[in-house]
Amino acid sequence: MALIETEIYSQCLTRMNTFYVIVPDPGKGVVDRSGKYPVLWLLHGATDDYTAWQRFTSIERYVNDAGIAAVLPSADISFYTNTDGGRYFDYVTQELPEICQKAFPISALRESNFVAGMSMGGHGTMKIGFSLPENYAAMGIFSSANFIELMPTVEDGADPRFPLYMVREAVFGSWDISTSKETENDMVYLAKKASESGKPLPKVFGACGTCDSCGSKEKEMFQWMKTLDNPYDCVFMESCGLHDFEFWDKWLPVFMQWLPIQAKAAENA
Amino acid sequence: MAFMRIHYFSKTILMMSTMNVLIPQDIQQGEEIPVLWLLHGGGGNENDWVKNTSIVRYAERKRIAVVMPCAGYSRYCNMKYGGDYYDFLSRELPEICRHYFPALSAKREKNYIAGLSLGGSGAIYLGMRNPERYGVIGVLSASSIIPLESLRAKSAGGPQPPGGEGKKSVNMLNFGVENTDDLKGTQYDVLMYARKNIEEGKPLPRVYHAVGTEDHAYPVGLGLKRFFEGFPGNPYQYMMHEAKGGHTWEFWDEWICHFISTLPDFERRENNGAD
Repeated sequence: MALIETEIYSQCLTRMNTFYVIVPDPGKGVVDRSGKYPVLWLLHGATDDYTAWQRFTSIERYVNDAGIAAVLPSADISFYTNTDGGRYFDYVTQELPEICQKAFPISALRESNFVAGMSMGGHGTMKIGFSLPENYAAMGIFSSANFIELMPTVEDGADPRFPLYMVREAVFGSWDISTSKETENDMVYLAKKASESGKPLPKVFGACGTCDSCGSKEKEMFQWMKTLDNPYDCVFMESCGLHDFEFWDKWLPVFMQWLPIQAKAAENA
Repeated sequence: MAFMRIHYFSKTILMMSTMNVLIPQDIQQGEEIPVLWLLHGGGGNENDWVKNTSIVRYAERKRIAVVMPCAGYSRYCNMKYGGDYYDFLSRELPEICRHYFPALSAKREKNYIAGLSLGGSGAIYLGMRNPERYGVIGVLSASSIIPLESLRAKSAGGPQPPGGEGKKSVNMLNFGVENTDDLKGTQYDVLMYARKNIEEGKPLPRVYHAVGTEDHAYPVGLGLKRFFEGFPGNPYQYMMHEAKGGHTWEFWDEWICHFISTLPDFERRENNGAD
């Protein structure tokens, strides 16, 4: 298993960007029918970068157990959205996959592409998976929910400079987060749109701590996703826990075991 | 020479950042290592200098530490739409570095700041706003010097908006204006600080300047030269080096080497801590 720190010039961001790629050793892991490794796109949270999952969980061990590859991108505090500061959504969903599929032995097949993340990365996972259900077979949402329902309003006492001071205008387009309703920043809207699109829907795994303030919102969202006319195949897990890596390190391996990895059938000798 | 890549959290820009640090390996007890704060250009990051020049060799020869931070798409200022990169680089970063690496000197005469292109403009901006912190400023091929930017060769164009066509420009994201000449007399005006430092009797850093004659930054370079030559007695010990060359790493590799050779040599202590 190799941990490959990769730095590229991103056209979508107009600057250098660094990310981790984890690839099984020669002869190890599972390959799909294209002969390539299934790949998990694992997204970090706000104020973190591509090193977070690697530093604070045993991600390499879990990836090794699953026998797949993983890419850990860096997206600043963008919420994986195209902003004036860079086209982060295009970067993570188009430019990065194109580069990685050429540079590493990872699969381009939908059935072998999975996206997951925690907190802001959970938001990014929903944004990516619900916007491009045709590209991802499974999603993992850790400790997140529809962010436009989670963010405190200025009336609630939110400090305009802290935290995530760039986010409101730069990502959601307005201090008034309610203006994001039924836009590309509204995850409920995106989930509904995908479900009505006739496209194949990703399987969805969710986990949130019972002491995490987004816990009830995420749970509600998963219950709702099952009630749609074209419902999601989804599962929501909860346990006593907070919004921290202790919780994510506990549920990441469970998610990895749940992933619908489609290995190529062993060839007859 | 130890080469270190450091992942750390900045309270100022409120996110993780990465820097590269070079430090001599054989530091003696009580030794205060001079530090070069070395800035990257537009679209670059903390790895640019290491990948494209022999900075490690030059730093080793002069026995200095080199700190190479990442400034994202900022112009080394507190951004109108973005993080407070000026505060981050001029205040928080030195504190962080001296915390992790206590051998780094905090003395003015042992702190230098330099950069290429946008980083050269950043170096003179940070240096002129903090003359009591830096002994030498190194400016290579800088054209984003406010308010001289309009002198830049028009053929060079400007950077692409990070968000794509039709989105906010780099200038708008950083300053809230399109034409930086409009920032004359504001907190972004480097020349204003250079004048004020003299008027207020502050300690003045030496200013080293190098630019290629084929560089789109050359006309800005000549403007900067005229500005410094306007002070009687050359209080900034300003020296401009012009050479055939463009906006290229060949030029920066050659001239960062020369810049470092002009830095002072400090005698190494032979006995541990004994003065």
